[in-house]
Amino acid sequence: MNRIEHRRVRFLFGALGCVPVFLAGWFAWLQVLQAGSLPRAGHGPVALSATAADVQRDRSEPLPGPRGTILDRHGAPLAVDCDSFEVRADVTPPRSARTGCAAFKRYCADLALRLADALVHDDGLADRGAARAEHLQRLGVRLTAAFALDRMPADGPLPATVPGHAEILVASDVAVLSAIEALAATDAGQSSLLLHMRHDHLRSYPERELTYGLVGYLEDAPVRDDDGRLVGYRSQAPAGLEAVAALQPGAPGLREYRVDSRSHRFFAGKNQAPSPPTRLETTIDLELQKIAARELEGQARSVAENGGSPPQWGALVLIEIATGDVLAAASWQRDVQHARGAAFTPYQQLYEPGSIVKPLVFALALQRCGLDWNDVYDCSSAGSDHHADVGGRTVRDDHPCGRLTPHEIIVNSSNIGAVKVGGLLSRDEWKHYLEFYGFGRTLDLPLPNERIGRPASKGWLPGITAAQFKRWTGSSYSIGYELQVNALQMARAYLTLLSGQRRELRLVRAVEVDGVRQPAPVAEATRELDPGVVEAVQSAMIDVVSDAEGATGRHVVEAFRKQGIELHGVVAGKTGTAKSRSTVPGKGAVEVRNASFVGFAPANAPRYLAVGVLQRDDSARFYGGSYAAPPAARLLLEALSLEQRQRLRQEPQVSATPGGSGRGREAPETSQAGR
Amino acid sequence: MKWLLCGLTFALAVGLAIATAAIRAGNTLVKRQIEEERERIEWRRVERQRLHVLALNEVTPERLAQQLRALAEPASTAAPAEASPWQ
Repeated sequence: MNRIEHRRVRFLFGALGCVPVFLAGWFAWLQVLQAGSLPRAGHGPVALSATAADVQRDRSEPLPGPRGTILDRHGAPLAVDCDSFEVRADVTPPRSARTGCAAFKRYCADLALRLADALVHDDGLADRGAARAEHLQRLGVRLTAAFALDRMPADGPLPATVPGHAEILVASDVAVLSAIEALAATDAGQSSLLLHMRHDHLRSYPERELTYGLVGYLEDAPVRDDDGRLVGYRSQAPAGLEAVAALQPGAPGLREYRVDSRSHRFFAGKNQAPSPPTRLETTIDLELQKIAARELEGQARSVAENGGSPPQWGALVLIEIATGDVLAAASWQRDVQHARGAAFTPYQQLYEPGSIVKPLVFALALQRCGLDWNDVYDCSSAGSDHHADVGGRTVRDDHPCGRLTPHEIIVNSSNIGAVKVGGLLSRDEWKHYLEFYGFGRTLDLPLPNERIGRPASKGWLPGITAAQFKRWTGSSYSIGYELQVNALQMARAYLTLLSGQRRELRLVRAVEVDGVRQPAPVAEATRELDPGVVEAVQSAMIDVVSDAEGATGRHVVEAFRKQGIELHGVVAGKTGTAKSRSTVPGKGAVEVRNASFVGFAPANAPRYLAVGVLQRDDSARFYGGSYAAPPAARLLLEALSLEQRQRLRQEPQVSATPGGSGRGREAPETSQAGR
Repeated sequence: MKWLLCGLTFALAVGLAIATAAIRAGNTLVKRQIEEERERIEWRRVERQRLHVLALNEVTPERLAQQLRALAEPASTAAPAEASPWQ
């Protein structure tokens, strides 16, 4: 190598050696001289390092936690949060669209069309054309608002005020795969569009129409700032179990990812899942709820089909006596078209209960006021309206009764006899009666907007003497007047009677939060009615549902017998018919008739309690025994039948093959395996 | 010889730089593919959950039983008996 070549090589490697020197100088310039040249409000200056450069590309997406799941007593979901996407679009109109107003509007219209087409990419849509038109209209409104299209002239150059970029909401609750894929394809095909699919939740309610009343629903309430401007929406539950605070979503999760300069996402591997949903185990039995709804609706419609006007409203509830669990609470409303508005009668519709309170009064009179169950009361009446004067007040029966024991008074539902027995109760005892059975007291169930039935206040005014109280209010209470209740309150009263102690209804069995199950606490109470008292009243109610002459449940027994079902001894109960005045929208104050029935089964060892009530807003004959008793009795029979089927399912199955065992269980020694 | 070593070192440095860039580019590509795959899985997970709830709505035991009952027997339309004017 000669000198010239040496120089060339030295020059070359010298030049190459300058590269690291240059780089070192560059880094020193950035790290030392320029350090702190990118200040941030509230923080230290951005560090000019490779890590800082990476962080610039880091993004994170909150993963909202799901609302709690509501389950029926067997674990079937009644309300569950499903994952979905909220689709937002970053729209940056291309240069070709910004050449003029007409081109810009064409671009926006085309974009709306493409997005609407993608959104209706769902085979399950009933009316795709209508859905597309709806999406198109909504997207048009949003693009118009984002780019001020309404203030833009039809033609001519694009105003300088038109923003170069906007973010719009494309759709919420997108969960259909084909629509999501179509949106992704639209995104990939348009460089001016960038779609963001943010995780969201869509509340689903299996068997929705049956559970509005108990499960409730969610609605979006607007959230405004101090200046009254709309800043968003917040879900709130105006009715039902949805209002339970434990159902609120838990801590949200976080997904981290990275993006490039064109906002393409890159996997970063970091993911923090949101809190799992709370599980609210309710007492509702979905199958019994369906039966109750079917029976109530069928009964209400059959009234109309038989020539009468359909009932204004109705309620049918079923309670498990051992636990106080509300198994079913069905609702019927004649004048409300949507199930959402028609679902709350069991705890929102008040009515005067009428004769179904008689066993409640008699039990207390027997326990506390010296009623002798063997005494005979003169219940004879006069005139075609079967009236009699009792303590200075005219009381009417529906049929002549003669001399009756308390047992027979209940069976015949004699008002004259009931007022005479009620006369044994003093004002203080009546006060105790209201407290003991829970009339005027909230159900204390997680059901917002409950209407609490109360006794009329006129009887309790300070100026009313004990004699006046006894003559008017006491006698009214004896036959279920001057007192308003809802169906669940009446169920609680009978639960108390049959248990002999104060009982409360239960709608939530347990709450499971983060895998820890918290059962609902059980209230302790002392027995206030002797077993003999309960037994006496129960025995009378068994005879109400019989074909004995004068028994008010005779017609329901005969109707069931025609279908091959013997009710006597299986279902016991008490019928009630009350005539009162109620305000009906469009009609003003009208006379209404409340047909009600409270029943329990099995009659001798009750496990289920049902309360049925139907109200008609006319003066036509409408009796508890004919109209309210059949659906309640059928519901009780169905509950017994279902219980038996469930027991059979749980019992060991006997294999047909010798030595074989049942499904997942061993055959017991006493089984007939092998026969 | 020393110049040869220098040249080789330089070539190695350049090679390492190119290899590093290639590996990082490959990583980026894979990260993008993983992200796309993750998104597709996520979409299917959401779809599966939607279909599950849809199935809950449509194929309840009670509805199946109702359909079977309707097939097995004609609907009965028993009207309630009118009671005497008693309570």
